[in-house]
Amino acid sequence: MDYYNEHKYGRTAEINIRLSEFEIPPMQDALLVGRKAPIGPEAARRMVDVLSPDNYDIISLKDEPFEAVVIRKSLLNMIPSEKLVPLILEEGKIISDETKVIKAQINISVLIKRALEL
Amino acid sequence: MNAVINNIMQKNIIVASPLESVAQAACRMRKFKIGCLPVLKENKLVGIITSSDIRESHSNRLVADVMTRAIFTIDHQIPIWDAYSYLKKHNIEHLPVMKDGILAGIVTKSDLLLEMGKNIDSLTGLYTSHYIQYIGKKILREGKLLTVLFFDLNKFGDFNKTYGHKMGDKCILILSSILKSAVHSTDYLCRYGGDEFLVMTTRPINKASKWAEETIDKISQIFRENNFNVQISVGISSGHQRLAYEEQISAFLDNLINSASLASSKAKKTNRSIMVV
Repeated sequence: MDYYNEHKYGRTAEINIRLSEFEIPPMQDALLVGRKAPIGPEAARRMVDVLSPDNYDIISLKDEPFEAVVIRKSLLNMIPSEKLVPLILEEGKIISDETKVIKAQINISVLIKRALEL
Repeated sequence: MNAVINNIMQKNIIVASPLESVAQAACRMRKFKIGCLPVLKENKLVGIITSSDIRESHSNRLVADVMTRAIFTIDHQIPIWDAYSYLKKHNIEHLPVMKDGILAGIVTKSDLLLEMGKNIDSLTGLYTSHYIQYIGKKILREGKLLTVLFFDLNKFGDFNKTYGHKMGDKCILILSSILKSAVHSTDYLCRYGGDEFLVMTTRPINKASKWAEETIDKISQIFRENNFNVQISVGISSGHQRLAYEEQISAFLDNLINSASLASSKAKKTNRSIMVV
C-alpha cells in the first residue's frame, strides 16, 4: 500500500540549475531596437546609462524597421558610424523584424600594411 | 460667459509619467475613460500619449518611448473657435491647455464641437451673439474697418400676440433665410436676440448701407407675400482703430454694436427703415 501511494500518486520535483556569469553589459557590442519591440530607445538608453555609463551611443533611425541602434563607442572610434551602422542594419534586417531587439557581437580587426622608403 | 477655452477645458487632468509602462498608461485611460494623457516630468509637460499611440506599441514599452514629443498647446484664454481651427489645422484630437507656462487643462475636439453647438441658434441655425463678438474682435485686432448692421423687427411682440408664436417663428425663419442668402461670403451673420439679427462686414459704410436698403426691400416684399404685417429697421455703425489691449478692443466693439442697436431703435421711432451713425 505504501509503495503504491508513493509511486503511483506521489509528486516529485526535478530541479536543474545552470549557473553562468552575467555579462556586463548584457548587450555586448550593439543592440538593434525594433520599432515595435518590447523596449524602446529611451529604455535602452537608461539601461546602458545605468549598467555601463559613457560606453554606448544611441543612434536614432528613421524609415527603418529598427528605431535605434545602441552601439559601443569604442567601435565608432575604429570605424565611423556612417560606415558601420548601415552594415549592421543591413545584416540585422535579414534575420530580424521590427518586433525584436537584436544584440550583435562585433569584432573588428584593422589590417594595416605600410611601406617605408629606404 | 465668454466662449474661451478656460471655461470649457477639463481641469482635473489625469497624467502619465515618462517612466511608466504603456500598459500602466493604458490601464489609467480605461479606468477614467479618456483618450489621452499628458506626460509630465517634474511638473513640466514633455509629451502626450494617446490611445492610438498605445494601440501601435508594445505594452512593455516606456511611455517616453511611445509619447508624441512635438506637442501642440494653446493658451487658456483662446476663443473656442480659434482652438477648433488649430485642432483641424494640425489634425489632432486633444489639446493641452497652458496657463502661465503650466499645464492647466485639456480640451478635446468633441468638447469644442459641443460648445460650438451651444453657440448656434436652434431655430435658425445661425450663430449666436458670442460668435459674432469673437468675429468682431478678430476684425478689429487686424486693424480692419468694421461695419455693424443691426436688423430689428418692429413691434414683433404685437405680431406674436396677434398671430401666435408659431407664426412668429415662421417669420423669424423667413427673415433669417433672406439674410443668409443676401450676405456676402465675407460677411458674418448671427441671431443676436429674439427678433434681432446682426451682420458684421468689412465693407465701408456707404456700400453696407446700399446693401441694407436692397435687403430691406427684399424682406418687405417677401413679408408682404406671406401676409406678415411687420416692418424691419436697421441701424448701421462703422469704425476702425488700432487698439493694443483686449479690453479696449472689447469696449470699442461694444460701442459699435450699441450704436447700431440704438440707431435701429431711432429708425423705428422715426418710421425710417435705415439709420446710419
